[in-house]
Amino acid sequence: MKKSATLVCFLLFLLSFCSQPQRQPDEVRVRLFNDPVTLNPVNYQNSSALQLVNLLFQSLLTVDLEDNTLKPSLAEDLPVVERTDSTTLFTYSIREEAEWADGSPVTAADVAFTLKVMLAPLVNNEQIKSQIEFIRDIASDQRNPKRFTLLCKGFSPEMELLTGDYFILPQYLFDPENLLASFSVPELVNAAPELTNNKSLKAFATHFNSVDFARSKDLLKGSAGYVLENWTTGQYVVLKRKQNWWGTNTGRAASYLTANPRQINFQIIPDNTTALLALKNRQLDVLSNIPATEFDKLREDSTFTKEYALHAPDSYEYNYIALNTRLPKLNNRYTRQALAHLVDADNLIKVTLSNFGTRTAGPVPPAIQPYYNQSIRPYEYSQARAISLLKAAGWIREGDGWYKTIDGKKEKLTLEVNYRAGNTVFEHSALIFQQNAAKAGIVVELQAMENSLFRQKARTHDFEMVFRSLSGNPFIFNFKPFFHSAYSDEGGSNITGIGSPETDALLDAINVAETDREKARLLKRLQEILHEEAAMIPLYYLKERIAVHKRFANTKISGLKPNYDVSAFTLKN
Amino acid sequence: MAAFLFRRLFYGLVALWLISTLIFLLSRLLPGSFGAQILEAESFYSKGSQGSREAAYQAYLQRTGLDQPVFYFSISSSAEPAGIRHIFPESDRLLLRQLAWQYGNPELATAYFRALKQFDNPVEQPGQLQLKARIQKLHASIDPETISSTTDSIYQLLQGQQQGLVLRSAAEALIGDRQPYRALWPAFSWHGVHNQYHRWFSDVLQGDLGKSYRDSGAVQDLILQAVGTTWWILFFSMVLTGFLALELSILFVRQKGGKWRRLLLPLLFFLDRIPVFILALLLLILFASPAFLQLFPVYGMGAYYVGSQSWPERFASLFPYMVLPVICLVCVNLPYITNQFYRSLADVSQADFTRTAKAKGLSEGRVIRRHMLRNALFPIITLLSDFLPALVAGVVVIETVFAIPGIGRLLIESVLARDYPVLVGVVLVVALFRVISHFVSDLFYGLADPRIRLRS
Repeated sequence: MKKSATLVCFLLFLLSFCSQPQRQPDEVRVRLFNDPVTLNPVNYQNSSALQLVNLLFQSLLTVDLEDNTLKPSLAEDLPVVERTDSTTLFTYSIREEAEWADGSPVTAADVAFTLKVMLAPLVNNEQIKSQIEFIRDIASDQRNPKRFTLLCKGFSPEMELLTGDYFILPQYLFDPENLLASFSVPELVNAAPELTNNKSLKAFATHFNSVDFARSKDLLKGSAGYVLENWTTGQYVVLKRKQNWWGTNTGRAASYLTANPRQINFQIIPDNTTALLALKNRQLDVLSNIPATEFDKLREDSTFTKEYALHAPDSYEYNYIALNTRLPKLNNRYTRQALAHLVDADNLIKVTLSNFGTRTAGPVPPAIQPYYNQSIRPYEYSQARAISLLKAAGWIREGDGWYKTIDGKKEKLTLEVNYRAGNTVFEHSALIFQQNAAKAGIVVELQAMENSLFRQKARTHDFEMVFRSLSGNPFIFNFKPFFHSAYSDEGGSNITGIGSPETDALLDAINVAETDREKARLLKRLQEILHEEAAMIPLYYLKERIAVHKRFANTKISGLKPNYDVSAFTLKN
Repeated sequence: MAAFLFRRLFYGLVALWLISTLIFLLSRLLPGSFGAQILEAESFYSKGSQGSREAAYQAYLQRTGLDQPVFYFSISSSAEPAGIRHIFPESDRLLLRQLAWQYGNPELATAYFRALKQFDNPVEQPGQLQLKARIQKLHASIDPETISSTTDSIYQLLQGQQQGLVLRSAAEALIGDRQPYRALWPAFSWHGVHNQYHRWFSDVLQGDLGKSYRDSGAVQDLILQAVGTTWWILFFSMVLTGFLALELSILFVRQKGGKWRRLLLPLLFFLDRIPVFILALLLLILFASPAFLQLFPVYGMGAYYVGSQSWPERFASLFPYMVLPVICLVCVNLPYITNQFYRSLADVSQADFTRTAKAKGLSEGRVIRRHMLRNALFPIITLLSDFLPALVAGVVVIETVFAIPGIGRLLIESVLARDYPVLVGVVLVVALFRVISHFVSDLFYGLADPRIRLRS
């Protein structure tokens, strides 16, 4: 018995050596919560893939997480914009230094090739195709192979970003047989039906749609500072720094065109608790999206904070409740305001997020002070106000609830509240709302929905009240898709269905505002109207919760996804 | 015996075909589809208009063959207009279908629908917003009163324009000629071999399970990879569970085993009541956390290693990763299986031949292992035969908590992403193993009991 006990102890001792895989100090270990599935720069499907593709390929423009501004990446400078009545021209020059993995230069021909891949029929590009629908043609400069002009239809403020927001693909590697060379961009924009029978197109599509373009080390080589070293499905993805990468010789731009860590090891861990444990075990260097309560506990843990820095930047993820104003019972503004008074947003932030949220009065982030309307006071929780507003809307309290005669029919005020199944923050928020509404005599039914179904219902406007979130950014404020009446048809993105001539005009004016002051004035007015209409009850902007190992400096923590720039990490001395 | 096995094999294949066909058809009933994310727009700025997204979505359906009918034939209501499945976007199709079902007249429903679609791109004019609101209302309603009052108000709003008149008279005709029972009359339509099922099934017969929608990888490769990672964990846990259960139940039936039984059985029952994910997290916190004992790695199946490893080296590097998942799986399965083994042995211990064996003066161990065990094997074989499919099917909870990419996770992910080829492929492979395991257990029954062999 004694012998076996000794043996067990010995074995455990031996095993303890195995528990900590060897670590290199300049290797960064980052957690991904799901497998990237495909690293194809045209049809990637999730945020993990996007984060990885960003380290392999580059677009013309990029966002520097240091100051959250748009900066030229492959392009030398921001585009020169020329506007006429019906078209807009964006002229770019590609950096002199920019080169592909084989040392050949990145040229305008590669940009033209990229546009063709994104537009060609039969190619797996449907995900991204509509993003560049406004680009009609590309004209290369005859004298300078690195200079080109994009001809675009109409103008909208996001065009500048969108003309530079797709990954530029290497023509020499992706189309060695020049199958797309015989087509022009306008030809593919017009997409005549007979194109689908074209032999070259068919051949290219078969080639490009294959699994090789989703995961092959040899094909997924872009102009960025890293190459794919290993990808073991569902376990880890390892990226390795290129030798003598061109980005380091770009002078001032080298501060955001970075490839500092020698190796980046992305660990795929779906479960939050496991990821947290791995972090505590020092098996991870970066962990984002830490549950709020756990984040608080980590802050208290002095042995942990000795090694890890904790950050909680303001994100651009807007959380709100949408009401379907198309429904007769919700098309009265007072009814919606009454419901807004029953949402105890301050309490929700405290209870469901441990205060990791910033209360907002509208869709403009409070962090963007010039545009945020300080004078609006968010709806406060008040049963009395809610009841008087319900009465003002014509509802009459009878025994078991509120009743009103709408279009000759007596209707009872009940609500079905939807949220995405698995989102515990919204689940708890919905429960709290249900209790508050019950106190005011409104029957609320909660219905969690599986993600696909949830999206489908929102898309077809088949809902009463939903908890949702919207990811934004600090540089573009085009709210037209959400509040303009042109987007409120079936399938349109204006899911609440609001929209009046005044808001429509306002939304159009915001998009063409010449000065920042004018834009701020218009945006503030829009926020006032939205507040008044209460079709969208604003809740809060989330605060991200991130831990990064203290041996790294220059982490560029930001509110924008992925919340840190792993390529910029440097070792502290 | 051969005829018996042949018959079982034949039934097995039929079951396999039925299961895969049903799953194929049922999976298509899930709301949402893989390509539907093309239609999404959830950002501060528009990435493409509604129209171009719809066009891209249609192109996607066409490219992947998802616009074809699902099966050889379909049975729908005779009220449904022919060619309705070619109508896009889907919301329009739904509206027309609802109208046709409600009023039972496909021709008039189509006429009204067409009249309504005339308003899709209204010219700029005063009152456009009011008109738009009414058109939207019509898009969302099939109620006769709403239709009649709204078309009327549109007519008045347009002050007698042709468009308004056409819409109103189409609505009147539709409401006036209701045939409510026609929707109940089934209509059978034959689609021929140009359907999704035919294409899929002919590929399967040639050993091709199709390609994943998500990364265009061959489904069989994905499954093989997923099975590969969890295979050893499951295999070790099964062997260990089987061995422990057998030894424990033998211990329990021994005469002196009473006190062990009284001590261990309640413990096993208690273990049985702990949910898997709690057990897994508990193991992690106890044996893989600096808070207590940091013996094993927290997650994954091996770390990235440069250079080549020999087979034993590879195994030694993977071993520490397997310990906790294996312990977890053993704890989950042990109580039930031990109990079954013990019950089965206890029953046999009352049998005449056991008493005879004892009376012959054989030792207790010999009586149990030589005489009782063989006769107690039947329920055990049945139980073990269920192990084999489980070996392939994986354990979702364990895979998620320990971050091991097994087939359970593959299945869940493919369902959530509506990746039909992978979904159906996984189910087909699991079903195949089930059929094989039943076949093998039939074989073993024959070996364990000569009477079965002789009877068949």
